[in-house]
Amino acid sequence: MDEYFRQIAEHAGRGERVASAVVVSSRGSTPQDIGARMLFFENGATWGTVGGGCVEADVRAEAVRVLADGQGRALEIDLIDDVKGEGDVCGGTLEVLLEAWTDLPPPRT
Amino acid sequence: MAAPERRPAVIDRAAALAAARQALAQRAPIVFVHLVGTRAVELGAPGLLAVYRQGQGLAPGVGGGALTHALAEAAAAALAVGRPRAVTFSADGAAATRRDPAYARFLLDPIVAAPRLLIVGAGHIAQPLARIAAVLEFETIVVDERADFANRERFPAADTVAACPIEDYLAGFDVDAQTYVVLVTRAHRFDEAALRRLLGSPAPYIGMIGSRRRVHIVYGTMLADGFGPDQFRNVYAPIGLDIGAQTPAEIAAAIAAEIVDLRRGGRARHLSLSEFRPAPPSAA
Repeated sequence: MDEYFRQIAEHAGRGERVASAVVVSSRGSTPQDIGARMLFFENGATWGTVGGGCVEADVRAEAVRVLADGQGRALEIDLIDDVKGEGDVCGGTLEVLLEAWTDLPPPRT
Repeated sequence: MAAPERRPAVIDRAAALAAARQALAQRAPIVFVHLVGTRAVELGAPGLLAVYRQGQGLAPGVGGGALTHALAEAAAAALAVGRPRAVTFSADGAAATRRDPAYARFLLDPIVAAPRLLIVGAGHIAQPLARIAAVLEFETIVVDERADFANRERFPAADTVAACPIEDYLAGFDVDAQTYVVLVTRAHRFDEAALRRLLGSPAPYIGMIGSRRRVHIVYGTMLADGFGPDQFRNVYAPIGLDIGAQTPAEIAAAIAAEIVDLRRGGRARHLSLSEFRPAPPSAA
């Protein structure tokens, strides 16, 4: 957890945008821990994981939007019958909270 | 998903980040309260809403007083177990589900420093134990007065290796409620001396190596010296889970598993004498 916040502080301190993704809940046979977390940086780099190939592409796509507009979002990823690659079988539902860690201009109203 | 024009509910992010880093550095945990989503409850867009601090409650408030109160209670519970938790409430703080017509859903995320494992004694059990502890993401400290045992070469995975008199080191070490202690020195008299110093500390776990007979003797002399039985509640001796461990590495695995069992509320069988501890929750 030290490293998670250190990463945020380091990137935010350079004026870069940072988005975080945290697993809120998990149903079914998805192996993710509640509280598993991942960071997305402006340059495309990441830190941590929310569960690998099964979900990370979905989370990454949403994180790109968060980096762009600074708005937090919740994401529910349905993993039932999602089979990717050899033996990489996930199932269930994963709830992920994404939010921005860097202040942006006030949202348009 | 939040419409982009909704005003974010987040509190000042720079202040929250500073609070998190301070909580970790000072080992004084806090809880972040994040809004995950709502239906027919107006709290803004998902994001960080408030910070819970022990003794100070939730700031700023969230929704009305009843919801703030319910969230503070749930945050305290999440802090007690040290793990994040999702909760769903109605606008007036009653328990709700995502099938209800109106709800607000939150993530309670305790910001807790890594647990520490203080290994007293740098011998043949300490070595594999320090490696396992690193994998389990404990901040690991090894202390022994023998510099040819307590050194970086023997403990590359430890966060701190201190070659100094054990009693001096313990006198200056702030044992907190997230510090697990393992007493594996080269002689029982050193284990006992360390135990005497650590007794009454907030450590959730003080494991001490030794046979049942040896442990009985140590407890007997300490009780005769005026230590109260309740002071042994957090002492686990003989150390480790009952997995038939034989080699130093296996004993280290039994110790590490005992600590995991304790942290996660498992129900594995411990080798330790239990007369000074309340019975664990029954396997109902």
